[in-house]
Amino acid sequence: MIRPGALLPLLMVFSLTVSAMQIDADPRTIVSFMDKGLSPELDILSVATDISPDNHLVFQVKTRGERARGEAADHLLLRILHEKVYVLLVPINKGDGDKVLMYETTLQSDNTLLPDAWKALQENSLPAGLNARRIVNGAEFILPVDWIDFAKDFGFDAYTVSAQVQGDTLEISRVHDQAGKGRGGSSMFSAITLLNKLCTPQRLRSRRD
Amino acid sequence: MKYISKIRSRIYRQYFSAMLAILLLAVSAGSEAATVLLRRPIPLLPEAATQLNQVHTGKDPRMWQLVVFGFAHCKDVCPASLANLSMLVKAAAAEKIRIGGIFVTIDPDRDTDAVLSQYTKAFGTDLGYLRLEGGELERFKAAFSVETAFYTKNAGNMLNYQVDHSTTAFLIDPAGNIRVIFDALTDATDIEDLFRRNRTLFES
Repeated sequence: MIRPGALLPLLMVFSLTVSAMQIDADPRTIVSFMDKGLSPELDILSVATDISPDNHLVFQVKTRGERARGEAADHLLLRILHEKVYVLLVPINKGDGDKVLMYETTLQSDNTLLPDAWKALQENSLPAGLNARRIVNGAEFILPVDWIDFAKDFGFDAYTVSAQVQGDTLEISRVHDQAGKGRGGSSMFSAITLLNKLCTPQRLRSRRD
Repeated sequence: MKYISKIRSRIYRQYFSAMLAILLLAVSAGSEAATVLLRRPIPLLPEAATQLNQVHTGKDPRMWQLVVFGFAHCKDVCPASLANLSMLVKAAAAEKIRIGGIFVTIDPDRDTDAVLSQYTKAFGTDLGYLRLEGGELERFKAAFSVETAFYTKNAGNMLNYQVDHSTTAFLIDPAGNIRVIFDALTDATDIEDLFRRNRTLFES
């Protein structure tokens, strides 16, 4: 007979294995490799998407830590591939506010690379409802669902970078970390996939038994 | 001594229940859903549109289609989806909106025509079903970005396996464009509201 105490570690190992399998297979989530060589606030742990009840697409980027003050050029950046290439960024320093900036460029032949120079979107081209908010160890980037063309493909990745804003251009001088590093760049999938919820009756039942 | 052992086992049970609760929460995390009325309708490929139209052959060609995906052996989720589908077809009829409900099987190996006919009839005579196989099914699923994962299905086990699948449902106009995307489990009342409050959509 198994002692109840022995069940806890077993259950934890089982749950971690199952959740890892789920996460790896989920195009809506990127689980990043931890890099202890980086400062905690520059080390991305995960990116997850969700649809909010008020029809916004939310990208939650989690880092290993956070900071209030420091190098002003450091930014948390979300890259979106959706007909064009877009980046949204907020300062790493919590003390520098959470104003989100958005830039764009055309799709490149090799989208595994993050271009160095970007052009700002005109004020009237910015999606209404574009926003960002701080969370513990990270930030959420928020875009209206209406902005997405669900007939097209979609891809995303997150970075921590050193970047300088000059006028309406953005120059990225250094990439500290990339969430999808080692995965061959952003994978593209049908934008409808962002809305999919998976039902997993087998797993639910096995845990109930 | 017996008393201490009793307390210990109660604590273990509480830990165990807490862990289970956390696990179940983790599984259902992100289960927030949204109904999306598409600003830019998605035209279906002619093959998929034709396959859908064949389900309700002989009925009004100006009919809209409500499409859900699942499999008849699904005990937990698909019955709820089908019940919602049936409810919505009736709700549309009450608003004089012509809509046909279609259940598309993602598991044609077990869902024969006989199984599907009996299964859908159990939810109402106004529902149809679509059974495609092989490449046809894969292309049809791809048109709707349906995700599936089969568990323990192999040559030695072709009967008792489970399938995870996306619960996204689709409202399609008579011209074969996806107009609304919603969750078949959680958003049925949004669609019911749409029938009542957005009649212009169905006149377009």
